[in-house]
Amino acid sequence: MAVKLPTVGDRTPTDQDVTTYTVDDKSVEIVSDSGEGAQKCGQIFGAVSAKMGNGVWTVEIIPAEVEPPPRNPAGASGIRVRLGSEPVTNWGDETNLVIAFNEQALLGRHRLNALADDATILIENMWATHPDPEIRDQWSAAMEELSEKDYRIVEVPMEDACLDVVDNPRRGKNMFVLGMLAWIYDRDLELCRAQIADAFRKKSPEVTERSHRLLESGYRWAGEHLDFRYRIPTMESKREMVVMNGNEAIALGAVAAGLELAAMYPITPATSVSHMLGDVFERFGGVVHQAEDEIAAAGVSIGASYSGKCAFTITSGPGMALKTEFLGLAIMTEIPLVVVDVQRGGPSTGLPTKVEQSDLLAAIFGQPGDAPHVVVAPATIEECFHVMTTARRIAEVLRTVVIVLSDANLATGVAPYPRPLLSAEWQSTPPDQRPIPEGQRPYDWDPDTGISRRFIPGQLGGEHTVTGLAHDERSKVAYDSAVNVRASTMRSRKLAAFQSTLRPPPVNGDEHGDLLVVGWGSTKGAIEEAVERARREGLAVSSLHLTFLSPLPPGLKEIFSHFTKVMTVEINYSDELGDPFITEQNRRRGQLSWLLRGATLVDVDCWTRVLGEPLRPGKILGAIRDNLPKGGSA
Amino acid sequence: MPSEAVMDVATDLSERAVAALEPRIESFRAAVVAAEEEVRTEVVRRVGEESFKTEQALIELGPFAIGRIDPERFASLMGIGDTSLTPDAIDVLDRAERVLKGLGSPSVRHTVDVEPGGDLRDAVKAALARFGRAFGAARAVELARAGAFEPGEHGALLGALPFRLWNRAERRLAPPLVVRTRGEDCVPAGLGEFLDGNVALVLLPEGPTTPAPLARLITPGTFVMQTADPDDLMRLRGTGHPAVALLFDQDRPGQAYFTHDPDGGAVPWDRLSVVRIPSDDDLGRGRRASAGTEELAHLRAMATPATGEADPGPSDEVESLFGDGPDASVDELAAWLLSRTDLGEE
Repeated sequence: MAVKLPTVGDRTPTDQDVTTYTVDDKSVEIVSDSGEGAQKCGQIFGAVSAKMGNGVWTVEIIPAEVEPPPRNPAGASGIRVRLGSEPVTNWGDETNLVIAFNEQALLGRHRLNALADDATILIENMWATHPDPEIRDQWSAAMEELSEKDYRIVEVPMEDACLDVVDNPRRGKNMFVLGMLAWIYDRDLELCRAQIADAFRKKSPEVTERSHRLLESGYRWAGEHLDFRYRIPTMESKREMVVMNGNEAIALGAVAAGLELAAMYPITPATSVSHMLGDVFERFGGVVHQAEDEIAAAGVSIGASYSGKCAFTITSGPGMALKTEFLGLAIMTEIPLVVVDVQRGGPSTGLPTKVEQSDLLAAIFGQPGDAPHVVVAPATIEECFHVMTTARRIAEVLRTVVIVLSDANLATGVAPYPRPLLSAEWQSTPPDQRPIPEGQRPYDWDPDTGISRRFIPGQLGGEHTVTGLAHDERSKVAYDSAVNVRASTMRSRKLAAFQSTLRPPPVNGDEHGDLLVVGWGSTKGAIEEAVERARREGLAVSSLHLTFLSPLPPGLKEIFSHFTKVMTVEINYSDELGDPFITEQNRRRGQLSWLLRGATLVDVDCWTRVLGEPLRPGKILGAIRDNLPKGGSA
Repeated sequence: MPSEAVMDVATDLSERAVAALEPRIESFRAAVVAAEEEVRTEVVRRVGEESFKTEQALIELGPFAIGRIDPERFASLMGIGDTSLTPDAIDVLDRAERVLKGLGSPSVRHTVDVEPGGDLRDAVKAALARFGRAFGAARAVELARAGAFEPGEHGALLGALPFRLWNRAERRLAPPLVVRTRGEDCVPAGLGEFLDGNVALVLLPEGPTTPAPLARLITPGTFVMQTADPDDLMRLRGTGHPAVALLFDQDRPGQAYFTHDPDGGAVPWDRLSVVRIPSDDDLGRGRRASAGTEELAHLRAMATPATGEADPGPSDEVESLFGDGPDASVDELAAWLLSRTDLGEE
């Protein structure tokens, strides 16, 4: 068995024993059973690193089950923290350092090829001598399996070390690990202490005090036993930075945008938006309403918006399905509404905790009948904050539904970004509530734009009946064909008018080349990193990232025409040519690929994966190499 | 006539009280100035030219739209079907702007003098109503912007706005006051109705008072303090509760010194820190002696732990009553963002 034990062993290393590696980019994973606090440890470590001036991106490793059985490879829970000397935009490829609370959680990551072949592993070694022979056997088998790779495995007596400080090491091992990380990466212990105090501010002071002692214990242990450290140069930021995940950013963005009501029903991975709002929204005049179900949440938000407020609802894919009929009502009655869909994997209940970008077509076309509306996808955590202001304003000006497509990668990923320079005017002018001039009707569509004035209940002269049935300018039910054609045209015209305000998206890289990689949503960082690496290899590759997906921005066909091949990269399903029965004709493609082919008549190819995890830049790079057109510069 | 020395002491105490309240004064002033700027922008925007509409679209769409949406084209979609501001509405905005500009001036004094023999409550009520003009003006602006301002119904908003009409958000922004009064006129029991939101009052009696005039104002969510040490007033900066403090002009044996801090605990004796409760022998025999005796008995009762099982009381509920209200300013959001994400202050 090729297990390597600590090179320094039990004696205190001297300066000569310790090698400090200076690197620009390093990933660390902390994995454990669910409930052992690995994520909290990683979040604190990430926040401290961001404060010290490193680029940071964290991705939570969340098991599919709420409480999976312990010591199970499928139940590995944890977090990956990628640090850089420059801003970090994605979770990277394989991890270089892993701290594992047990060998089974580690095996889970090993089997997913999440670890670099030469990764260093620090692992709790209590299982090797556990009284239960079955567990000892599992340990031995795991070590055997891990020896296939050239990992450097360092056994750490975490349990024993924590027992010096606490009675129950399960409640604190994560802080010991944080201490080890603080030593390895030379983190500021005072910052660590402050971040711990902040993280546990709602708990008793004893919890913070105990965590501080565990932190120091881990730091001390690492200093006495490990022979390696990493130094990642830091950046000097000219602007103040904030650190949060995408769901927190959406919540704070909603506050900054002056949204007044959030109606929701709990659903992974969207729920934490409402948790954040629950903490702060009321302070700013907002209300979080947890409805009895998804449908009611949509109804409440539409009702609030109808009454003149500015409302939004938050959900994930299954919730979007349930809200479908109500979204049609909002579009038909032209009531402004912002809908946040934090996408997760699979149809039905699918993969609640895993990332996918599979709601795109449902978000655009999911409503029965012709229901034109806006769909927009933030690509970064910073954009999650700012998109809410834009979405609100578009919804109000166009009197329509704006769907914001986030995903589980953004929802739980944490990264620093410049502190927003807030403006009171993001909160927008209140609706015009002056008496309605005689003769003005609730749907007096402007013939050029399809836009009409928003009536607010109670407005003098504005009395009318709202209906989801086909209606004329007076909001009177009207089934005749002329009215239906006119109303449908006007609702659609609004989207065309809005599309005329959009600018063509910028190309990342040269505007001509062999391959254009097109993405949307949270894959931006990974795609651009892959493209940059490909360009360094001399490949004529560029990328384009779409933010507005309905309507699509202008100029796409023109941009595509400058590349030999166009290919989308997405986290959703597509058939592989060469698989049984799959032909060029019947192949089911990535969702953006479908959309772009229809919109541009360009033969847009796709490379998609549904691994339940964010795309890795290295894998995208491989796809780029594989998909370069023949005769290209590869 | 008070002597020159007495005048100097009073002035010094008054200045130190104002200094202790400076963060609250600044918070109120910043909100008023921000509102005034918003009104000025609104006037320019609503009666301005197309270029202002473009600028407004750029701002209202936020940073996410930069490079993605053409603000000039988007501006052409904004306000379709809306009617422009009427001259009456513009007049309301102008008048409101003047009110806000006046109250946002650094020269506005937060000190109130109670006329000899005057009513302390009435003086505070009038001062708060004067400051309330800022909130009335802000409300009038919102109504005018929405075209809903009716002179008959809403005209009073451009005058003094009594405290009882302030909403929760306005009470959170309440301007603090330093109130100078004769000791014998210092009868603060009627101030209870003003102790809400973020109101802070510092009473500066000149001459003897009853021993614990503020004892009657102690409620679970109110910060109450009696002291003869001006440095103690700095504690007002640390409390997020409505607060009233009494600063004696000199140390006298018949004065009670205590602090009631709502954050101190769930039961009165945990919240109440008593430095001194005078004995009955220290009390005078004036016409308000019985009132003084009652105040001290009340203070002693609250400071004495109950025997048997204590009921911790609904502390969370108390806190929520005084939680932040609606319509908090963007500045407040920025401050909150900083505290939450805690990178900014590093």
